[in-house]
Amino acid sequence: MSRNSVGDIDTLRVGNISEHSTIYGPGVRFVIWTQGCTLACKGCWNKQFWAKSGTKVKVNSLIAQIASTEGIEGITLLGGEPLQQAEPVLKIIQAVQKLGLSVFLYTGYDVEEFDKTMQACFDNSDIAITGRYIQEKRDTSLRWRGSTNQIVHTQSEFYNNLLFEERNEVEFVISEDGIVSMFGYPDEELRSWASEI
Amino acid sequence: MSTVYVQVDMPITQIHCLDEAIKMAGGTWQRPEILNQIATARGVLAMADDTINRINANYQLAKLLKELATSEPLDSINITIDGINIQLTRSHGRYTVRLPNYDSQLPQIQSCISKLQSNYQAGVKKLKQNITETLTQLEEQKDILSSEQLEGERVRLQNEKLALESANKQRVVEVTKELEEKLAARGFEIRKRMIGKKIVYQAVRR
Repeated sequence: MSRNSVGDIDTLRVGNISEHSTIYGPGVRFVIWTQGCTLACKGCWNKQFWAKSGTKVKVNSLIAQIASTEGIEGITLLGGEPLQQAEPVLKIIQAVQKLGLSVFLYTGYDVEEFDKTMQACFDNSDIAITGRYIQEKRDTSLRWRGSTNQIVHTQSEFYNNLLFEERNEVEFVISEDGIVSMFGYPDEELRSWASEI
Repeated sequence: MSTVYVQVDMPITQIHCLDEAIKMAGGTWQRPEILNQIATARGVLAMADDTINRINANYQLAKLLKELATSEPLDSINITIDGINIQLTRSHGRYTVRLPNYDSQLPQIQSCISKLQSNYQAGVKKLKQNITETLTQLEEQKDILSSEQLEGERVRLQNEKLALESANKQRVVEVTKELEEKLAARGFEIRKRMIGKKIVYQAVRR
């Protein structure tokens, strides 16, 4: 069992889900924000996903939801800290790959900090981002990450032909009743504007 | 002078639901005349005792609801609740309270806004539910009602929906315009697409 696990391999604590996003990895992706993170990176702007609360979702029902979502290339796991729930995360990774979908994993851990289950999650991901978010190294011109120390690992044939270029990406979702959600790596002014509206 | 924004968590946009929310909170405001006319028309519809009166009342109410849906939104709204005056100002397509951070009534105002917001959400939910239920009833009664009756009810319900949704649509228009301008000014390339009823902007800056 992973050292950070809560022990239930069939349940994942989820903070948020976006069924279609283009900001966290290549193509259109099903994005899962896991709930719970003890790394507490200074300047983290997903602090709402730190507490061990969220919705407890059965792994099988989450896999079924992913399977029934049309138009996605893969899933992205972020948080919170996905590898602090490594057992259910591994189950999800293995299941979605059987569906022919790719896996993009975010973790604040560095590779040398992994235990066996975390390593398996990492090894089975098509792309992984590792490393803490370091506020002093923040750079919004980076693709898929927030600070320059974070590493992009492209480690499967799925993305052999991926043309990777650094760029700043932000995604806004506006619901029919006018609620605005912002994702990605906005600059301070854009963040402040989004919080005002 | 520094200011603090007392924001409502969801966009309060529709003034007829806001009107109900204010009433439920025991407050008063300068209601636009159209809301008085709608309230009267609803009363007439509720009292209509024969088919002809009901048809006419439905059309009259439908006309007023459409007028409400297409009217210019108010720039600001002044409300009094429990002796406290609150000014809601329209910004980014919704109503917000802006106060200097040293305002001694800040906690009371926040409490009033929270009450209003909760009433407002309940009101919108109730209205939506009422529209759905009435549409279902109409469907069940379509063989017993005359075509004129059915049409009158449907037109009224359509305009109830229109009045409910138009303010949100207006907010979406204002917010998207502002967003596009902000992103373009920062040199982002924008890709806009619809996913279901949501608008998604993917902005990339190389």
